[in-house]
Amino acid sequence: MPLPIPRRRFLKLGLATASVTTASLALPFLHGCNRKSQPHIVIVGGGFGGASCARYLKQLNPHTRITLIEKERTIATCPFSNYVIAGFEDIKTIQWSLDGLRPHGIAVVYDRATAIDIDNKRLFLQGNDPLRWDRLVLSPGVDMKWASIDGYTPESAQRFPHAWKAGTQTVTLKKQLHAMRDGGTVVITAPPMPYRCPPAPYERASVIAWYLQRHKPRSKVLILDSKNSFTKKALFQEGWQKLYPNLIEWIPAEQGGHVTRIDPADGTVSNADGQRWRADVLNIVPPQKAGAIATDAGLAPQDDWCQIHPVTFASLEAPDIHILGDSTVAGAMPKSAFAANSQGKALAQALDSLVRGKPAPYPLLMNTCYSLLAPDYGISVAATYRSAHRAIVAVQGSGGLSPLAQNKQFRQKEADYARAWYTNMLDEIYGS
Amino acid sequence: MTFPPPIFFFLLLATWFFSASHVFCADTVTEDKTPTLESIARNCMACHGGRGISRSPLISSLVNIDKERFIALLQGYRDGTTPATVMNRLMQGFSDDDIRALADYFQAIDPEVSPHK
Repeated sequence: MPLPIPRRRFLKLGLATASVTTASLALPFLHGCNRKSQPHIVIVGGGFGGASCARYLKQLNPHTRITLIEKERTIATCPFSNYVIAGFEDIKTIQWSLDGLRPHGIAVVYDRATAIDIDNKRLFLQGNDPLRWDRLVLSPGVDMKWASIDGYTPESAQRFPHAWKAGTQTVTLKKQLHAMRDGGTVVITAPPMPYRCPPAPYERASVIAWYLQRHKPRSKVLILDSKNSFTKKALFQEGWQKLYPNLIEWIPAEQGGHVTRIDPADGTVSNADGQRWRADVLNIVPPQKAGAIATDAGLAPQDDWCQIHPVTFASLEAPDIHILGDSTVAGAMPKSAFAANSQGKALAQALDSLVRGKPAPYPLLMNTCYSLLAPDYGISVAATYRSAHRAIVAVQGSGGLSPLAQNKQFRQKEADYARAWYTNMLDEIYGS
Repeated sequence: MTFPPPIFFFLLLATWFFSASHVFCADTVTEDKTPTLESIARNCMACHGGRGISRSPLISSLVNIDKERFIALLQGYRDGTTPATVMNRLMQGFSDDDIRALADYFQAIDPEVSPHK
């Protein structure tokens, strides 16, 4: 079954018929299907999506030529980064390297991808010569929409970190929290959907409350939300009531929680009605969009996210560019590490067939997101997905939330599984 | 005879059709929309470890489990007769045939081979 012809190509097809016809007459069949025996697959982004895709491509066919581009020599994972902020995990436990992929025959280049030439199939890099690709895989994660909160810029984010890309900002926020006076207020602003890791602002509030309860018990956490609800809300609120009564306050958009402005001079935030909140520690989680490498190449022309085919993950704008992870509109799947890992495997399966000129088989996709409300208190949401004609859809009846009203042992077990999941998935991706 | 002959236009069109790479080489997907067994199994590995070999004592490996026990466990999760936190939710929608196929898949893995091969 042929895929829908991407819009970009379709337009060109119409406009360029005359010249293509002439060229075809001169060189009949030379344009024909060019299935190279060793196509070069270039992957941008060595996170959960890109690194998983690289590993499984190699597992499916050890001869596949893969170059993986990653700008960070040390990758810090967003999963478990909230526990570093709260102080019950060390930053070292969330740091990983792609060096372990090299012995498996994956060429790892530590550099920043700066631009894509779609027509000539080239990827430009900051510190190296451009790379020629036959298939380009983009797994660039998210970028911040700086213009959406007045006064929030890359500069003011140094003082008021988002910590939504783990690493330096994770440590900055931790230091600020640990230096705060007892009786202070930690303000977290939560963005509108869609954004990376939907439960994470609420998990962050929870584990910050865990820290405050132990070290600064007169303090509080205030969540100013651009939404009126959030994932696992009943489970979070049940846990907050049980663990941190009166310590966490959540203000939804309908009660003025949608922050539109930050005053970097004194660290206050305000909404459109002029209502202001002063923060001792201010954590702005801004609205987000697909990674710049994708948006700059015109791969997200309609809104802030990349539209993809549900089986091949091919961009609807450029058929030889495949996009996965947080940058995409992946139907019912959330923007999570687990989802990106699942998509990386599904894309590896599709690409392994496509580069040999074969139809891509359908995948099953999955997501499981654990959140810890305390080191020994875990909750989760899980689901399986399949690719339908136009979108990725949830398998009917599958998945769901952890049940409410469970005992300590049940929550402890989910916290244990969260840690075991992290151990196994990170070994699956970065282990050598 | 008119010039060029009508056959010329036909050939022109046919040549273009067969040589235009974006038509001839368009990526396709299989007619069968059933998810492949391998793609199902690889999702198990997200928690249970590469090739189903767990590095954590808290989550079981999927290799080295007796096949009948593997099938009974997964059916029990699905049917709610085996207590679980998350496996009961994830197993909804899996048929007995799916479960047997997964059992065979993980039985075939050599636990001595590296989880990263």
